[in-house]
This record gives sequence, structure tokens and C-alpha cells, in this order.
Amino acid sequence: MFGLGDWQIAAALIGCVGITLFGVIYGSVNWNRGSDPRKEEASMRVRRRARRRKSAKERA
Amino acid sequence: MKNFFVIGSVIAESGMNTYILGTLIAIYMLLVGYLGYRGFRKTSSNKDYLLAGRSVNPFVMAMSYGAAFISTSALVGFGGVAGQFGMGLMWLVFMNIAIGIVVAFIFFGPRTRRIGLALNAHTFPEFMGDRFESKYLKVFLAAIIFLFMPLYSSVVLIGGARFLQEVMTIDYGYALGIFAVIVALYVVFGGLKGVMYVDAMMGTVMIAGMLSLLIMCYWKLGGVTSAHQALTDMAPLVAERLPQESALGHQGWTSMPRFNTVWWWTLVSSLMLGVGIGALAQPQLAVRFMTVKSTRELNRAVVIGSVFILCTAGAAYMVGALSNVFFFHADKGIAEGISGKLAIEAAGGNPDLIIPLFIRQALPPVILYVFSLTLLSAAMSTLSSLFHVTGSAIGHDLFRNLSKTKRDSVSITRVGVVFGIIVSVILGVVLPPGIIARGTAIFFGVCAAAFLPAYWAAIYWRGATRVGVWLSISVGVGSSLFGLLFLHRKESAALGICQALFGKGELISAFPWPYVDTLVYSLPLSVLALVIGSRFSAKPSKAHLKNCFESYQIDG
Repeated sequence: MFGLGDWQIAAALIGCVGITLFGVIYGSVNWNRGSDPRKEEASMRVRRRARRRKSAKERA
Repeated sequence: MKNFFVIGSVIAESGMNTYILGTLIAIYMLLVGYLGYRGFRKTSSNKDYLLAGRSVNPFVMAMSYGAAFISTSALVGFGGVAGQFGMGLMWLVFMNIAIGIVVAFIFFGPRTRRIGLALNAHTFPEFMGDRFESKYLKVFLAAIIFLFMPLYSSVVLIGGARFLQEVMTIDYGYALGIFAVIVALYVVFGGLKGVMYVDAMMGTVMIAGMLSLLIMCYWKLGGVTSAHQALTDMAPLVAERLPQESALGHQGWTSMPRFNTVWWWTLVSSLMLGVGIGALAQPQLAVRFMTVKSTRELNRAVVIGSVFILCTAGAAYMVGALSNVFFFHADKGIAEGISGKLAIEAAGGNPDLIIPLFIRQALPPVILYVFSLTLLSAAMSTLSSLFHVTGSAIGHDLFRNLSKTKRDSVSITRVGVVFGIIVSVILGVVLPPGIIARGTAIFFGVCAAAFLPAYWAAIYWRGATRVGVWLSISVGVGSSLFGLLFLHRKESAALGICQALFGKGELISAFPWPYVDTLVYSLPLSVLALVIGSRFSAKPSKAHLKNCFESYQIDG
């Protein structure tokens, strides 16, 4: 196949192209899927405030 | 390092115009300076300096990850090994993409980012230390990075300086100074933002350079199938012309090595498993998952990262193997001067010279200019990441935890980075190259066995305990060092400790043990230690686990 002498090398080449295609397709399909940065930022703010309150209490 | 010097000579002898190359490098350095300055302007806090503000876009993240991942030795060194032993190395490319990109970005990235955010971790040691609530674990991991990383940095630094010395025909001292100062400037001032912006540019240069090399190579050899067929037809020459390689298991450049031979074990255990799996646990790569603003960016980065590795490492190994066709068919008028030689013969037995020699002999000078910039990019991008991760380990993790200070400032981290760079430069000047190369091998081996099971447990296993992780890391480090000092021939022979203590090069001489990579036994042992240690020790508090795993939901 493709002038290659060994099926294991052909498998490696097909594997390389295949896994790259998988990466491209996976990334494209999930392009807009994932955590929402705005929600995370809001959640972070709440957590930061809670942390600050907790450490203030501890100091008091 | 020595080979880099020779590569530079090969390129310098190609009749390249030094003024054109000098101008190109000057423009290139100006761009580097500009991007470093942009990083500097946008850096005001430790979060900016250590994690690029956690707001990096997917293109920059993926290119930076890839450029830090693929160093000059991956392109020229392994490309040359492919020239000597053939396309079996394409399995390494497969592992690099499958494990180093797909598994890393899809399975490790989102959880690392999420837990890192919940713990407010800025570095890999801080991430692990906070996850397992152990200050000493943080210090220990930072110390491992500080002790071993400068060895690897010094190899890349001196290699780059030697290359610059040869192609620019300047004094080595100046070359070393210029190279170190340029990289230091944008790492120290630009922080991870500067490093990642510059890496993204360098990654683009690397893709352009290696892709043009592959396309020109196929064009020169008459197309994909005919080039492969010509290489396949050369298989009988291995036994005839390369008896040593044939004895190691070499069967032809388009065939896998014979099963259970020296080369088969090297390919499968050291390259496919050692390098392929080892990349998952590299601190300078793992920290990049925490730089993006959401998991969406990691999904997008999978596209860019997988294409990057295929175009750079994949192109280098294909060109390396196919260069045999070019050199051997020289009598048919492809190249004057070299007739009927195999690539390794044309390179005088030095595999590191195969790729530069092929480019010099076969391709137009413009490719040589692009290739010079590609090599410089590969060296600088890896070096900057290593400097940054070493410096942050010193300044952020070691100094702050060992001193009583609670201060956490960019200045302290910057001082740490400067200190790390100075240590790397001194090591590069003082230590003999043999020790440096072995030190690098030890670092990679130790990294994979010591960090991988603990890192996996940190993001996936709620039942993993501090004791289990300490045990896993200790067993991983111990078994790796034992294997490198007493079992794996390449390291044990070079270090000579086994010879001094037991009067023989390695403890077990029976085949295949001297050729089996330490990862093959140290990784399972490290996993076993993690499971046993975690099973019989106190579990972490529910509140801490809730904070780590439930603060931010993974929804993609």
C-alpha cells in the first residue's frame, strides 16, 4: 500500500493521518462546546468573596 | 551539542548568503522582541506571569504546547534516526498525536484546568501540592524540576548557540551570550504571556518550514507512491551495506524492525512508550492547560495541536527515511557528487547530519533559510518554556514555601527565572556534554514514572491519598534511577556506577533487559505503589474533594 513494504508501517501512516483527522473532527464538532468563561468568572468571584470572608473570620 | 555544531557547519558550507540569513534572523528577532514586549505590557500579576492571565486563545495555546513539545532534537535528531532505521518512527508520531495531544487535551486538559482554577494553582508543583494538601510535596516536585530541568535547558541553550555560531560565523562566546540574553529577556519580562506569544510565532515558522521540506522532498523523488516504492526496493541493501544495523533488527526503511531485537525494543519501549507516554507528565506542558479561559479553548486546540505534530515531527521522520532514495539514486543525476550512498553513509555515520545534508544537497537555498529559522524556532521555543517552568519552580514554589514570606509577587518569580537561567548557563559551560545528555535522559525517565500516576490520580481519583502519592512518586523516582544506574545499558555504561560497584556494565545482561526502557517497569510499579498507599491510608476530607472536583462542572 502506498509503495510501503510492511503493513505495520502502512498502519502507522494511516494511524497518524487517522488520529489527526480524529483530532480535527473532534475539535470542530466541539468547537463551541465547553465551559462558559463568564459563568466561571462569576463563580470565581463568589468563591473569592467567601474565601476572604472566611479568612477575615479566622483573623477575628 | 557537538552535533549541533556540525549541523551548523553543514548549513554554513552550503553557500548560503550570510547577509541574507543575518537579515532574516534580525527581522525574526525583532518580531520576537515585539511579541515579548507585548507579553510584558500585558503582565501585571502573578496570574499573568505564571499562567498568561488564564486567558490564552486556542491557537496560541496549541502552537505553544506543540513548539515546547517538539525540540530541535525531535526534528533533526529523530529525523536522522529515521534516515538510519526507517519509517518505524512514524509510530512515535502516532503516539505523540494520540497521547500527547488527543488524550492530553481531551482527558487531562479540562480537569487540570478546572481543578487548577478551584485550587488557584499557578504551577505544576503548586497544583499537585494543593490537590494533595502537602506543602512538602510542592517543595519536592519543585526541587526535582530545579535539579534536573537546567540540565536539559543547558543542552538546548548550547545547541542553539553553536548553531548560531556556525551559520552566522560569529564567536561562540558572543553566540551563547546573544542566544541566552534574547531568550532570557522575553522570558523574564514577558512571563508566560511573552513565552506563549513567541512560541505561537515560532510554531507557525516550524509548520511552514517542515511542510515545505516534505512537499519538496516528495516532488524531488517523483511523488508519494514512487518515492515509497523506491525506498522499499532498497531493503536488500540493509544486509549488504549496513551489517551492524541489520544485526540490530533493521529490515528495510519501510518495514518494522524484527520482533524482539535491539532496535525493536528501542523503538517500542524507549521511543513509543518512553517519549510517547512521557510527554503527558511534563510540567512545562501540563501547566499550559491552566492558561486557557475555558474548556472550549481546549477542544479547539485539539485541531491545531494534532495538525502541528503531524506537520512537524511527521514531516521530519518521513524526510529522514526518504533521504535514502535521494542519496542512493544520485548516479541517476539527482545530486552530483554523492553517488549510490545510503543516507547514513553520506552523513559519514552521524545520523544528526542526514536532514541538514539532504536539505543542502537536494533542495533550493530558500528552503535552507526557512530550515535555519525552523531550527532556531524549535530550540528557542523549547528553551523558553524550560526557563519559565524552572524559574517559576524556584521563585514561586521553592522560595515562597521554604522562606517564611507569604509575599507572592512577580518580582520574586522573575528573580527565580533569572536564577534558573544563570544555573543553566553555568551548567552548560561547566559540565561535560556526556553528563548533560545523560542527565536529560534521567530527567525524562524520572518525570514520566514519578509524575504520571500521581498526576492522573490528582485529576481522576478521589480515593488517592497524600501517602499514596508520596509512595508512588518515591517508587517512581527510585525505580527509574535504579534502572538507569544499574539496568539500562545506555545510561549505566555512561555513568559507570554499576561498573564501579559490581564490576560489570549492567546488573542483568540477559537480552532484552539492557535495552528495555526504565518506564516499562517503573511506571507499573509507581501505579501499584499509588494504589497500595492510597488503600491503606487516611482519605482526604470530603470538603477538600468537593472543592477540587465540584467547584466547576465539566460541561464539555
